Amino acid sequence: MQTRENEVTIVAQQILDQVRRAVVGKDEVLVWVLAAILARGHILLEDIPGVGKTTMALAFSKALDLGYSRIQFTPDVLPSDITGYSVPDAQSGGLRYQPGAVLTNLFLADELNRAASRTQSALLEAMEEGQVTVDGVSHPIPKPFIVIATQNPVGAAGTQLLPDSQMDRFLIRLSLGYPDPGDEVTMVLNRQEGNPLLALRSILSREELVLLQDTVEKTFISDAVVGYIVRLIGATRNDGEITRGASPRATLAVAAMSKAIAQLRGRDYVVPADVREVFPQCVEHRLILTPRAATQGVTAGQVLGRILESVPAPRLR
Amino acid sequence: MAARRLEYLLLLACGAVYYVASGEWIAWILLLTALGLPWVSLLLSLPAILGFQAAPAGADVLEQGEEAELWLLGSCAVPMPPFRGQLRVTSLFTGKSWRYEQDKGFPTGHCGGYRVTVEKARVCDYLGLFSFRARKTKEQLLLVRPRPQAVTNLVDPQRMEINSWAPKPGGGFSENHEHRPYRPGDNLNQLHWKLSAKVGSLILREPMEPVQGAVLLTLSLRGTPQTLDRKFGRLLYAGNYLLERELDFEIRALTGQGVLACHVDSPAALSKAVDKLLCTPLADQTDAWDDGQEASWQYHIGGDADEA
Amino acid sequence: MKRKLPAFLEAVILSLLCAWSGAGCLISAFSLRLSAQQPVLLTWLLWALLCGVLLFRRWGGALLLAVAAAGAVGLWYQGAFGTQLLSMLGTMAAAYDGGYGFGVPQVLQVEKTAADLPLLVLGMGMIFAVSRTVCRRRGNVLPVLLLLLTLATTLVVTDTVPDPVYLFGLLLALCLLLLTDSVRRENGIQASRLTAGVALPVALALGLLFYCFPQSGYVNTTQTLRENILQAVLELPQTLQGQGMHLLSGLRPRERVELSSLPTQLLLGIPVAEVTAEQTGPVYLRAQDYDVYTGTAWESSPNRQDVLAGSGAEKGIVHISLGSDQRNALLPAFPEGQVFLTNGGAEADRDSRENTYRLREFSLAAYPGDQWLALPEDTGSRARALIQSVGISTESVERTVENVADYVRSSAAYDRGGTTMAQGRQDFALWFLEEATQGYCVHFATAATVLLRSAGIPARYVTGYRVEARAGEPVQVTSNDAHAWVEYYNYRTWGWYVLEATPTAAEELPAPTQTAPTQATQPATQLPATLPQTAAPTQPETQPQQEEKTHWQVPAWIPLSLLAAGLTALAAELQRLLRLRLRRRSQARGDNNQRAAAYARELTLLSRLTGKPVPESLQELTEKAMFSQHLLTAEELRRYPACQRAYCRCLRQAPWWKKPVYRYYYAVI
Repeated sequence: MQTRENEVTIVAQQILDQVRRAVVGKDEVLVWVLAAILARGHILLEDIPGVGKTTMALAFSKALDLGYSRIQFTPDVLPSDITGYSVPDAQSGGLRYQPGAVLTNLFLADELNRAASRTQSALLEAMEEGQVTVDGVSHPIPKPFIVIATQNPVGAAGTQLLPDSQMDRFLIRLSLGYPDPGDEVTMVLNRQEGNPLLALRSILSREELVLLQDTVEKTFISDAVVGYIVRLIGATRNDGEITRGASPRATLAVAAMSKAIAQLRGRDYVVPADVREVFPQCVEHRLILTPRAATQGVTAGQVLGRILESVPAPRLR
Repeated sequence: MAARRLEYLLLLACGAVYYVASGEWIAWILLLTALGLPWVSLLLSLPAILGFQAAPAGADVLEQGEEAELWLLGSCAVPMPPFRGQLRVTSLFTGKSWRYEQDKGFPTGHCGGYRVTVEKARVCDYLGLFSFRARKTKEQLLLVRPRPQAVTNLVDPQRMEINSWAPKPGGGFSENHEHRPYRPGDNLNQLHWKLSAKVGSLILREPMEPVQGAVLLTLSLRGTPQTLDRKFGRLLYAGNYLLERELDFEIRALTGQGVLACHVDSPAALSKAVDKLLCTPLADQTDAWDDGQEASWQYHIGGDADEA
Repeated sequence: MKRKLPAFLEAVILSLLCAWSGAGCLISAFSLRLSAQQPVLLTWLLWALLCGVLLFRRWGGALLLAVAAAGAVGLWYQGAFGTQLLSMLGTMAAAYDGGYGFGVPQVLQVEKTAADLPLLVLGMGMIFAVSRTVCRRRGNVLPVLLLLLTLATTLVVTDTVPDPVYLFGLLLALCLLLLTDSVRRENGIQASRLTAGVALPVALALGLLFYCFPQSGYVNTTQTLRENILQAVLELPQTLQGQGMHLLSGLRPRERVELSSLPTQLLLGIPVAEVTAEQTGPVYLRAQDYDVYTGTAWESSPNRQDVLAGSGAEKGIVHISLGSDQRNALLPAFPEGQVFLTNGGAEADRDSRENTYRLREFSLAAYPGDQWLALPEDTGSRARALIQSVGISTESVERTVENVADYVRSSAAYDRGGTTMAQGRQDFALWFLEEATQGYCVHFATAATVLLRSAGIPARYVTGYRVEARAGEPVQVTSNDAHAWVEYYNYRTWGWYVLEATPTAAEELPAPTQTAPTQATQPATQLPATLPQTAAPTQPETQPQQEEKTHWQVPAWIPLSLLAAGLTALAAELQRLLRLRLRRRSQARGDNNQRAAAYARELTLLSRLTGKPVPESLQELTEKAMFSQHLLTAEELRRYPACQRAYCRCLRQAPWWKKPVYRYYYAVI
């Protein structure tokens, strides 16, 4: 639904064209991922194995010219694998810092839920602070920095899903799912000519991406729309079927995503329709339903849909 | 107008009821006034009704794709009474006509010529009680001009075959020369002495210049509106292309009225020719014609989408 | 300003004409007094000039209303305005009271003063309305309504007629406003030209009208037609209730007379026939006689014996010529001596219009049979009991007849009003004698017939006409002469005689002189005290004869309802104008985003009414106006009124019954 053209939409179209060559179908998810990138947020992919999460991350990193690193989490991954460690330097005699996996632009954390809690908290701390401290020395994480974490939707043997406090730190939760049969066919045929990932070219440099993120951040959001977002989040806190509603972090997340979506639709101001679009995706994973609602089979999505319909959007008197 | 008549009948009924109820002088006067009002109004409106003229108004010439509207304009020397009417648009290509509706606007999606006439024009008197047919109406011709569409396979006219040569007036240099016997009055500078000495009589070496043959643009005026759009657009483009190279050309079109030929030597003449073509009816599907081979540069404008 | 000069002049002149003629109508109709004419006229002139100048500006209307409000407050505090207004309303109420008689309210019974200030205010209001119509090129509903209301107040009662001059001015202004309305909506200058052009012809036409029908020489020639129409309209409710026949003004004999609910006797004076007799005296023209009494109705059975031939001495010729729409023949009877006439057959020719009857004494009629004695059982027994209780003598026929006549005449008062028999009563005559207090000839004749029958005297109830004949002169018989009387059979003299039982007519009736020998015609002096003397009728009669001017009263609900309708229309138009003004103001105020929001509100309403959704582009524009940091450009703002105009065009195509809803309820068109 491109309504207007501005620089953001043009660039976004180019990026998506590139990424689509590697990831067939799933245009919706790609748009959300791009929006989350522009909103400086982190993405949680909840998916079955083998649907192309790594491919998508790689494709984005190639298209945006981002440094890329990936860790497959197992229970014995140490925090120092993430943050880095110091090794004694043979030449200078001091300690040399060996950078960790997180010091990159696009960090893919596979199966984050399998990691030990210390490791998880190390990663989440790095996401929050934007720097790692090893032996008293802080190393800043380069900008732009995006984390794409994945987990399997139903815990495999011996694993549990991420706790809610940590789910709250992710801007958005997405799921790729199986491709359509036509897309699957296209995917196989694309591979005939070699790995499509190798053919991707980069559209933006890192500085340009940072500038784009700044533009998105500066999108105008009027008081009426902010009030609408606050009302929506407030409604989740007072609902009868939700035990714990969304936190103020969710308000910020919804605002940031609305701005990104507004820019992707070609506007430099946010309208309530954008808020309605991002609200379920951003807030769904932060809610805890009451046990009664859970036993009745009510999903968070349905509850959020009901809240969207009941809270009135700002409109003409 | 029905509302006005109802109001008047109501007034008359009130007057009549009042008169029946009280037969006083004032009731009689009021009843007579109410009865006489339409006739006085009719009498006073007579000059306006007789002098009223209805005409369509709106742009004459439109570009394809422009938004356009038409409306009915009334003109009268004395203050104008209420009037109404409808516009009927007839397409000069197909001959179909339809009633113009105000809120739909005029369709300029495809080029063509249209004739706009006024039908069912009725003018009322000043009170709006009686309505008469408006006698004087005008009609208007409306042209929707096509947009030029690029044609890529035009042959460069410089490379067209030169079939005949003619003596170059004023002499000078030329690539081609012709030798001919001397005629009294010829320029003596052009004598070919060497040849004359060999032949024994005076031979002239005359520079020749190529005679431009006919340059022809042909098209047949038939097909769907999209096809016609393309044809006209390409005609415009090709015509301008030729005019840029300062070539006079002829447009031959197969129309419903037979083969129409227009000579074009300036942009004004081109637009005039295009306008004239926009106003001619389309050719029948079964007409075929013989293109004629006598032109030296010819391009037949087709309407298919993948030609250009 | 120079372009607006014609409109300005038109506004000033037309508004002054309206004010002058409206006020003049009121003054001349209700004879109000104006203490000072010049200041009033001068004030109107100044106010008209002011309105004419200011109403060309957008804020002019508001300014003028503010000035008017200030003036109103000043007038109120001055105090004279209140008393003058009350005095003027009191004069008008007194005039209405004279026509309808519902009394002047207490608050309006103040002493009469001059009516300067109210008329001044009225004039200023009219000037404002007319100037607004002309200068702002608006609809003419407001001034037309004001003029019509002023005219209507003078039309309610027939004595308040304005002077022809003012009426002329008012009608002229009204015609001009109506004629130029359609042109004014398009173009103000053309409207001024048109006003100037048609003013003279319309004035000439109106002047011609007033010249041809001057007030002084006005004669109403359509009296009959109007009364026919009015009677038909007023009778409509009664006929709808199944009233049955209206007895006395009926022009055709009815075979049945319904007694339980009798209508009011109307005096319409419709000519029925012309009678030329050779004798002077009261003539009874028989139309129909009835033999069967059912207690609530008289019926004429087809097999009654109607012996009407006379065989006695001749007494002359009576010529009756019926009116053009009469069908029945009327057989004359003179009460003096029993004279029935016929052309020699029992049945006269019922279809002919001209009938000449030979006057012949009627003698030796055979006993007519028991059908003329028949009464319902209950009635008969009760009536006999009544006769016993009242003390009517049964010695001789004549005495019985006299007593019965006296008793019936004195049992109630004569009144033309309609009566309805009380619920649950089976017998009309006894109800009338015992309970009713008023009646007319039908009641009296029925009661007398019933009593006579119960006393054993054959009697019949006859309807027809009664006139005073003059020898040799033709006498007009009209519907006012319709009458009902009793004919009884005196077996001693072998003849039928007329008995007049109705109080008023009895005065002119000569004492029944019969040709039979030895009549005991003493007045009833030895009657018991229960039978009152032949008393004069209790209600002196202003006998409704033909010379009374029939003064029609318009039923009060007609002008009231028209007034209410006019005021409602005025109120509806005013509220619509106010709402439109407020909406346009909110759409023209503020920065472009606020204006866009105001436009968008109206567009949502319009889209809801027409069912067509607002275009996407405009919805996006509205969102941009509401939520973005940009200010809409003028070009973008222009799209709103264009869309609104398209919607209004669509609404104007709506069916005619929906348009008033859109116009007055939603105020969108």
